[in-house]
Amino acid sequence: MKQSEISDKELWVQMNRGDMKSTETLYLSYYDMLFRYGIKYCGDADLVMDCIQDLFLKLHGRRSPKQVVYIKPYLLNSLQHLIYDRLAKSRRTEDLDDHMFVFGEDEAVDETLVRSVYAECNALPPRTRQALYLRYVTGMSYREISEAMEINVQSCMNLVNRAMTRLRSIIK
Amino acid sequence: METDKIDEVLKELLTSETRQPSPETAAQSWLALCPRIKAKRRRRLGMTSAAVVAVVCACLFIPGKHSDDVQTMAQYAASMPQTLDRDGDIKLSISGRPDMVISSSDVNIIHSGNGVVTIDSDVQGKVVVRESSASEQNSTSVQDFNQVVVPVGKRTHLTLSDGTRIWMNSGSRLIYPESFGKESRDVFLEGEAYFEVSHNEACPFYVKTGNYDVAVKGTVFDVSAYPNRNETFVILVNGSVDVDSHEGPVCALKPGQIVKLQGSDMAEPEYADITPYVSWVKDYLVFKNEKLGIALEKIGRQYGKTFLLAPGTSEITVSGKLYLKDDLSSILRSISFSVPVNFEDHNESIYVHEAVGDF
Repeated sequence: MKQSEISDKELWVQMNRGDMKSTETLYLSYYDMLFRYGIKYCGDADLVMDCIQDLFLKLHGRRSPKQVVYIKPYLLNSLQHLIYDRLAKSRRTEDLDDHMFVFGEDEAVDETLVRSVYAECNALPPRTRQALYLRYVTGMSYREISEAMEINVQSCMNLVNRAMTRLRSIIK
Repeated sequence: METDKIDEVLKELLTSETRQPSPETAAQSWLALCPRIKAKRRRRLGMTSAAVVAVVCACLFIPGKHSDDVQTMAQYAASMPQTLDRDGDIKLSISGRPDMVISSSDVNIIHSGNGVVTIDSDVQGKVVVRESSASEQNSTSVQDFNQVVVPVGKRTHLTLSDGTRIWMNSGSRLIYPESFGKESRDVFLEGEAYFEVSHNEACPFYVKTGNYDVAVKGTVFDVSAYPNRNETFVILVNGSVDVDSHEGPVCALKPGQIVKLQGSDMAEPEYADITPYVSWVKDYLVFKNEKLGIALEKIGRQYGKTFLLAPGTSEITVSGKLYLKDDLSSILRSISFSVPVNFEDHNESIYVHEAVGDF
């Protein structure tokens, strides 16, 4: 079997059994996505990098591996919990919600239209921003979003659709 | 603008949302993680070996006996000639008696608790070799050893004085004391044997081999330690054993697990299908998609023959079950029915050719 034909699920099982090569492959393919997500969640790059390492340290050679259906949302959700726990220890969770999944804050954007869209996004409640982020920036299905956010599929659709309705009104 | 177009613009905007790059690339981060994963593995092994080390040390600090046994047994093993003949007979050396040659392929040697030794073979029937131990008084002070040598092509079943049952595979030898010490029961193995150790928590059972030791507490397992083969293994059927290679941590096996060793290098234990490894005890061999080269090596050891394989034939896979009581020619005939090879007999060796055309 060629390397490229091994599915992430098989790699996942191998990683849980303590296979170094599988852990490496998964780490390299999910690292960037996890970092971008984590930095959107808390804004502390060092903390996010630490937590990604901690996450895979836990998953590698895990003694009682969980049955995971969707790998991507499971990773995102686990990372979010790890970051939250770390912040909770140092009592830094207060301003998390305002900061969470804020759009376009790191880049100086001149275009007024873009700026106003991002501004409208950022006026949305944090959970709605998160759903919007997962849907369009991370590019996940509603099923996957529901796993990552631990809410049902219909709620995800509602969150995203409500956000889109508000955003459409700006462009008109 | 139409809704569809608006959505497209929005999605475009959202997708092109800024992506702050990580200060570290994924590869850099992975390099930093590697030592942490390895440290975690070491921590785990460290914890299990700590318990075992405690047990072993406890044995060593009891004055004298245990370590003396080991010393003299290793010396005894070294002093014995390399008697693993190709087609000799089974040899039994009992302390204070001349060596015995048993010309039979299926032998049962029984040491009863009171020093009586009985040999039960299909040729000679039941023979009492020694009525009672004359050396019984001496054996408390002087260690005397017994040895069983099973040449290639033969197998032997042995019952020790403590009730432990041992099946010895072809081309193996076992050295064991005339009477076991009070702190531990040590035997020395070269080759392969299957053990059913009688339970005695106060007196652990040790199987010593050239490169590693197996510590037992009432267990069924198989030890393979052929000196001329690179890879050796210990497989556990039930109970628990610790494998100590004298280098690196001790490995605690769980039932159904196998640990492979190359010299003193021990791999991580893994779960395996036990049957193919221990079926020889019940006089049959099982192969599941086994390479023909490996299958014939195992068959050859049981029958004292060497197979010479033509290029390309050793990679052919075979599956099936064969009885070791059958004679070799009928076994080879059934193999050549299921895979496209021919066998050609040349004295000690058997040549294996690829069969040409229809057969």
